[in-house]
Amino acid sequence: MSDFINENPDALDENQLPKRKEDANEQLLGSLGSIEALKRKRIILKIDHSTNSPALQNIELLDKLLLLDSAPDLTSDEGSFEEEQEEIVGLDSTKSKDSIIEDVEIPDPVDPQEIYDLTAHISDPEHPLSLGQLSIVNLEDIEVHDDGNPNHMAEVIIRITPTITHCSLATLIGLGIRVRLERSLPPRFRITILLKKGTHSSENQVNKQLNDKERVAAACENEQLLGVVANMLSTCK
Amino acid sequence: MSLSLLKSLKLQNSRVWAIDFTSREKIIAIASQDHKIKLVKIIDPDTKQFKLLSILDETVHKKAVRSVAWRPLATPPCLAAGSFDATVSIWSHISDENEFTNNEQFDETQENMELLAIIEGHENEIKGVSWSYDGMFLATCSRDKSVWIWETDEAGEDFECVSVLQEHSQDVKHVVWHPRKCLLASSSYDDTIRLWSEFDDDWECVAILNGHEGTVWSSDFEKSGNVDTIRLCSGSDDSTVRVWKYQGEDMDGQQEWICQSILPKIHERQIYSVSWNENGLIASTGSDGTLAVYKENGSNEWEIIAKKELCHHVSEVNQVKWVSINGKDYLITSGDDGCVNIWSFDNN
Amino acid sequence: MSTLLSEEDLSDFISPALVCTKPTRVDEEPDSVDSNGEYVVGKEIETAQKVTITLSDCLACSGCITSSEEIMLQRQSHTVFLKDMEELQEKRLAVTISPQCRVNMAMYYGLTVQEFDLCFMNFFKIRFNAKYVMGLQIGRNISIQNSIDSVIQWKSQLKANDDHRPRLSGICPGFVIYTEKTKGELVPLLVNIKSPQQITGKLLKAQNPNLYHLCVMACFDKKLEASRPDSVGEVDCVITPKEFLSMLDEIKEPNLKKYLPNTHTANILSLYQELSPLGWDAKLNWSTNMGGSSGGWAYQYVRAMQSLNPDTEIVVLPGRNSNIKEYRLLDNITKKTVASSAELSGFRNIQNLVRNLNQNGKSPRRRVAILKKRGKLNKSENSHNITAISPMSNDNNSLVADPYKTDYIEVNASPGGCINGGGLITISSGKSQRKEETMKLEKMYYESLSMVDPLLPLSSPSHDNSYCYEFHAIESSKDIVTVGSKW
Repeated sequence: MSDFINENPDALDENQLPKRKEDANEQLLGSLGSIEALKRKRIILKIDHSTNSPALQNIELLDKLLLLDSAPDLTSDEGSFEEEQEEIVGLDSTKSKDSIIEDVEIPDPVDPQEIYDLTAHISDPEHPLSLGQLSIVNLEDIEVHDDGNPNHMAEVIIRITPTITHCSLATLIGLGIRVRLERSLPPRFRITILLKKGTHSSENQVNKQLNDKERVAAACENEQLLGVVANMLSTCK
Repeated sequence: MSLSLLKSLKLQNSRVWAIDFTSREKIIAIASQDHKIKLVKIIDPDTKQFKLLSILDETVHKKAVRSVAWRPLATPPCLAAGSFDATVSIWSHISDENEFTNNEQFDETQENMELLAIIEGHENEIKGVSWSYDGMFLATCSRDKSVWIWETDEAGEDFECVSVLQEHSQDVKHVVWHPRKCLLASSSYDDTIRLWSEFDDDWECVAILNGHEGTVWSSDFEKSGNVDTIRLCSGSDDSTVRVWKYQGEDMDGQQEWICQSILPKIHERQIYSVSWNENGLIASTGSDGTLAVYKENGSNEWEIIAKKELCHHVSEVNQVKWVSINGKDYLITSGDDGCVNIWSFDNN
Repeated sequence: MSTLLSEEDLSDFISPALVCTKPTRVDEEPDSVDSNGEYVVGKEIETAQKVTITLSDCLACSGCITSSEEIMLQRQSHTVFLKDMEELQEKRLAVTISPQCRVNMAMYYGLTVQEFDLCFMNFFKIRFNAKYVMGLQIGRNISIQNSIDSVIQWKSQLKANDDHRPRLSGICPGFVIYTEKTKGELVPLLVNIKSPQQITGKLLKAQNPNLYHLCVMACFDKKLEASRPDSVGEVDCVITPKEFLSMLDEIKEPNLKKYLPNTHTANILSLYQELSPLGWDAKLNWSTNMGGSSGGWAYQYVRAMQSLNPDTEIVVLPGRNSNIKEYRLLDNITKKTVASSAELSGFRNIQNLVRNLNQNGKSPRRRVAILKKRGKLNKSENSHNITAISPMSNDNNSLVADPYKTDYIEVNASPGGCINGGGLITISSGKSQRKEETMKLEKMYYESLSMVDPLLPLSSPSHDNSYCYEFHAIESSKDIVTVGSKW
């Protein structure tokens, strides 16, 4: 096995990256060309608790927004709590079930191209290029199992190709991808990020860490690490 | 036999990592990603009466609260909470004027539980906390690969570290004590479970349970049976639940445990939590959102007697715990959807 | 890293996570390290590779043996020693061995300590043409005397508002590195007198710079001590008894016993003298002293205070576990504490020490309320029984060791101290047998080694008064994203 699978990759130009055929131009221009795309955007924006679409690109701002909106305030009305508690605490599970996407009637499955679009523009932490340009993320290495039903579980599997077999930053790249997807996809998605077979000397270790929910959650509370991730994501469309 | 959802408590938008329950005061302590600990009292599960008692001082933990544990036998109730900020907080009800008497129940109209102590020592994220059956020892575990055992006084204010156990080769995900003696089980990212016991005046590893093919996320001891032959069940990344049985002890105090059975496979993804109840039933849950209950038929034969798919809608479920209220069995689960769900379990 | 050094052995019971030092020795590739000694994110990965950060260092790993430590340890192995011996040129070898290693290896070979000493001396004399082979007591006497002087002076100048927290011995490198690296706020409490190993080295090299100084020590952390920037040149290489055995294997000398001289006592004594530096009292240097098998700093402090305060009595108080002991000097008439010191070892006790010293001054939250309640709870049927007396008791005369209130604490990282050092050869495998073995070693230490009074002034060799470390807190690298970023 060669040490450098992809050391001096032929970096692709932005417009060489694979795109969806029909509405690629519209997506690039940011206009909301199809009903599907419109709905998807609406869902994503709602999930992020923001109506401001540039917020998607500004992770730090998003974070703050998420924090602001993190919990219903249960403490402020101590006096009236008795009356309110049934309402607040006792939300019926049937009612609370994903009311945000109730209005989506047509199943809208996520496809690999969408995942690619979400991740390909993430910057490499050590190159001024994107993961798509460096072929770290490749469309053919994205697997999606989704029927579009918001009440069903769905799955995304991404296999990434690090630039060198012992790239220490593989975990960081993987973390960036995971953060990007967790923030963009609805909760029904289970995201698995793997190093493509044979591309890394510590494949199993990296895979184990990237898919350990607790480690990822803790990493997302490490400000410095999150700062680096925010930089990586700042180039996302 | 059936599982039915009695109540879904939606207290926040952020992930609920863990819960614990005091059977005497019937309070659920809820630990969540948003750094908070909330207390909810179950007034009557069957008539769906619940009451949010309080949110503990939210400035105490600077990061997610990962684990909570009520101290056994404590009056007034005392809670330990472990956080990703590397500290453990100890909470109790402190009041000069309104002191507790023996007969007095924890009165939710009284002021909040207050911070009694902050325990520092771990290098980084604390992932599990657990009190020994007698409330004498608190065990904590962390990504720093260590398990610490703390001895405390009855006030729960002074904590003395009595042991730092560093044999795990990777982060330690969970700790749980034996229900009737001072034997501790720790589960780890290194795919093993280790058992620890006191030796001379320190603590030592007395057994290593090898078999899981992935991170072991949690384990739980059997609640009934002969004190020396109580078994352990465990749930792992490899999506299996295993039952482990004590075989004996050598001259040097090293115990032999074998994997007695692998429970019928139902989960498709990581199993994050297992719980064993007084009646011998095991419950498991995890990333696939399925809640399953297993029963032992004869020796070593287990079957699934109840299951519920997507029990927190489409979210992952982080913990399951059996609780007993007025002699009836219930299950409490916590999920990434910010909910704490209470399930009735009908054993007929 | 030598194969012999497992991660477990490396640090003598303090995990690598806790002892790893700032990567100060990465001069191979300074470009990849910024001014804080951190590996910088964003640089091309190739440069970082050269400082041998392996993926296992930074992944799935909360504590890593940093590359710098690996480098330091690589410089200090028996392999390096053997290589250096081939390139000695005009230099001659000097070997120092600690008393714990002598006892350990004597037991391993089934020899008396004196027989072992003779084998050991003869081996280095014949095999490596060693000029000197010595014990450690002269260095230890100087270390003890200087440490005690420093503490006595501090205590005598102490005013009411000063920091009354105990001074901590800086002799155990495991504890020192841990403190410097993770508990910077306690660094000012460390007594900065060097260890016997370093003082011996300094004396030796002052007398004859043309020496290669090898030390045989009970613990791997001694290698890191020898690599301290403030101690350069004093010790050239440190190996442990475990490595000594491997070395014998490697050079095809499996039978050390064959070096036992078959002669009568007079000649034996002459060998001790023959291999001793000029003007050094060989008998003294191969001795040891009372007060704990790690060196007795704490005990000797109280003894020194006793000589300054007649009509006092030393009381030894056991602690809450076997690795804590207090020496308390009580006035015979008033029964008040005149001075006190403690021996404390093992990571858990270090943790409690650190927690306690850091809390000092801060009033515990709601203590009054809690104490009130505690009285009430004692009567409660529901509360379980905890009968242990609080070790934090304020009662000055309570007869429970209270190390945090003493003047001076001798801290050792290994539980039980140097006699349980990670570099010693373990003979039996079971844990209970191991404990017995350590107890036997300790017994042998007191019974087989001759004892001297370390407080007696030294006539020779002549020495100046500067044997100080420069301790400083090492900036925490926590939460800084590095190539080795861990999460």
